[in-house]
Amino acid sequence: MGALAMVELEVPRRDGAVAGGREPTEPVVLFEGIVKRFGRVRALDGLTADVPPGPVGLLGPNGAGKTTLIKVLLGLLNTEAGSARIAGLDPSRRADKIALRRMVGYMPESDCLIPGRTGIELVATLGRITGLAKADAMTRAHEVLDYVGLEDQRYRPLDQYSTGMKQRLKLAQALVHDPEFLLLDEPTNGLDPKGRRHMLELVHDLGHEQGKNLVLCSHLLPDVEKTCSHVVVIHRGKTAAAGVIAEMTGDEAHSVDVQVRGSGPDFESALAADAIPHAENGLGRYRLNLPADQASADRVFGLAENARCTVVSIEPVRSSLEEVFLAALREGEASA
Amino acid sequence: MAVTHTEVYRKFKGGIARHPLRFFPLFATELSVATRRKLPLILLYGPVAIATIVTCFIVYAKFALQAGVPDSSNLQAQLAVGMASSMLQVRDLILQVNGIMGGFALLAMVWYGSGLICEDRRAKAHLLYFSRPLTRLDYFLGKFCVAAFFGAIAVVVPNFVVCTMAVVTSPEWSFLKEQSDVIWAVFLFGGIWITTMSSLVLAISSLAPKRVFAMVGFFGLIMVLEVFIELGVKVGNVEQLQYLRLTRNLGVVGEWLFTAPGADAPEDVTQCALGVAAWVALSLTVLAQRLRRMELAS
Repeated sequence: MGALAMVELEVPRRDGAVAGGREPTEPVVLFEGIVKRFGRVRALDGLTADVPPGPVGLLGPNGAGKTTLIKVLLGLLNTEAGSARIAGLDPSRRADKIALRRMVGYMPESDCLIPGRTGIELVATLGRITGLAKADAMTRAHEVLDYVGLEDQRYRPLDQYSTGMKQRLKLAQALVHDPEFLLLDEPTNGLDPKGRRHMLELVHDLGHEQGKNLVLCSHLLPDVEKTCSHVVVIHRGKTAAAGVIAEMTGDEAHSVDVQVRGSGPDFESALAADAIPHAENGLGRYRLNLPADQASADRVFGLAENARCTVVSIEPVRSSLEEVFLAALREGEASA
Repeated sequence: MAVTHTEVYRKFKGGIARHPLRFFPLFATELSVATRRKLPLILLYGPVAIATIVTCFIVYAKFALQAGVPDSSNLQAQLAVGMASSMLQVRDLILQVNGIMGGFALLAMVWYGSGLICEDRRAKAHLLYFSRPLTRLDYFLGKFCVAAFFGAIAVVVPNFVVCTMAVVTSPEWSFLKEQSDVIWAVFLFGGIWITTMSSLVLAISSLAPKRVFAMVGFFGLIMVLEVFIELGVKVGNVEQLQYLRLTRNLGVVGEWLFTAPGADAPEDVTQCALGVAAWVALSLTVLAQRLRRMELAS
């Protein structure tokens, strides 16, 4: 058993920086005009994107090309055009491919586990294949299995593992060599709410506390929102949107929610007299079409004072990642 | 806030080596998994072990008869020497045992080798391997060594044990002095047999979706080929087709390798050797293509 500690799930800071104090710097992964076809289907259609350090979500609907992109990054797929770079290494070059696979941990979407082996055997073997010494591989296998919460199941054959255990085991094998980069392909697939929560906590911990550069592939927006500070939205093999989640969701803060105590009709009249578009949400709550800045706040406080009301709260209205995502998809479809 | 995860992530402070035998961990783990079930081991290698013991006894008896009677003027001694010389030579014994036990050796290799690649592909485990610093050659070597290991136990080890018995029991190390070419032949024939069969088993495994299909495919291929070649030779009168017979080709090559120095070699040994080489080349080509696809189109 590993030492006990409390790891608290926290929301990424709004400025996109992560808890460890690391600020976004140079991109660690670069895609430049990647084209990949499967027959007539263009899975990646000239995709260009920069992935900064830290936890980054690769978001897109099913079939958008997320898994294809991950495989291109690992050198598991050749591209028709374009180039990819991870920490300066080109996965299409043989020598670079081997070098980059030493520093990348990959958690595939599919099960990938051969029945008949135990969890500890699989993780230790994959550690050895990566280049760990026999003793190190076994020690690491125990450590990472402890970390993902499989300490009691490590000697069970893989065919007796539940879906949640398999997902955690896949994460453990990706971590066995303590890689700098983690590529996690749909880590919460098939998990029940408890398992999903646990997995997201692990991913959050790795990205925010352990300082891993991780790319989380998912079509589940809440997963990305909870664990990542940056997002790259892919749609039909192209980058539909990319940036710091906080900035992307904050871009739409052109309105504020205000709650007042006192004479509602007077406050509403004051708003109308000042030509501020607004909507009443009941119980003294109003949504005002004002930019979320200090000048607007001063204006609202002034109007409330004139209407003999007290401002209880004033909050900028931010759009959710879902709204940003859907807007990006709409834009992508419109441009296509 | 959620406070359910309680384990600490530990940083790895050691190093990642770049050793040349990257295939070895794969080989070791496959071997350990394959040998976990004892019943197939006993069933497949039991007859081989019995045949080896019997052959060793015959070799011992032959040399004991020769060595145990120093006075050849004695009638009993003459009888014993006569019996010993009428017994088969070690090289012929090995050839005969190979012929009889070849089926078991093949069965063992197919049993243990047929699932090596197709099961990885079925479970998509190759994604885990190829996302690590493991080349296609490393992967192939890891799998090949497993198949070769089980082939070696059935082909090389028994013959080597028989040779060792012959060396130890022959009077004044006569076997080592006069017939050391047999020992070389054991390794050479074993090497050829193992390389050929392992490559073919792995090639079929790389094509099959499941282990059981790979097993059926292997024996099906051998049998169907036999039928077509027989038809071709008998009906079509195309004699050259018999050089596609893998088991026959290996038999002829083996016969040539175990031929005593100075004795006549089989006439068509060159064609048979070419036939074997063609099978190996075909198997390795199929494997190269399939492994490339596994890595790059996975």
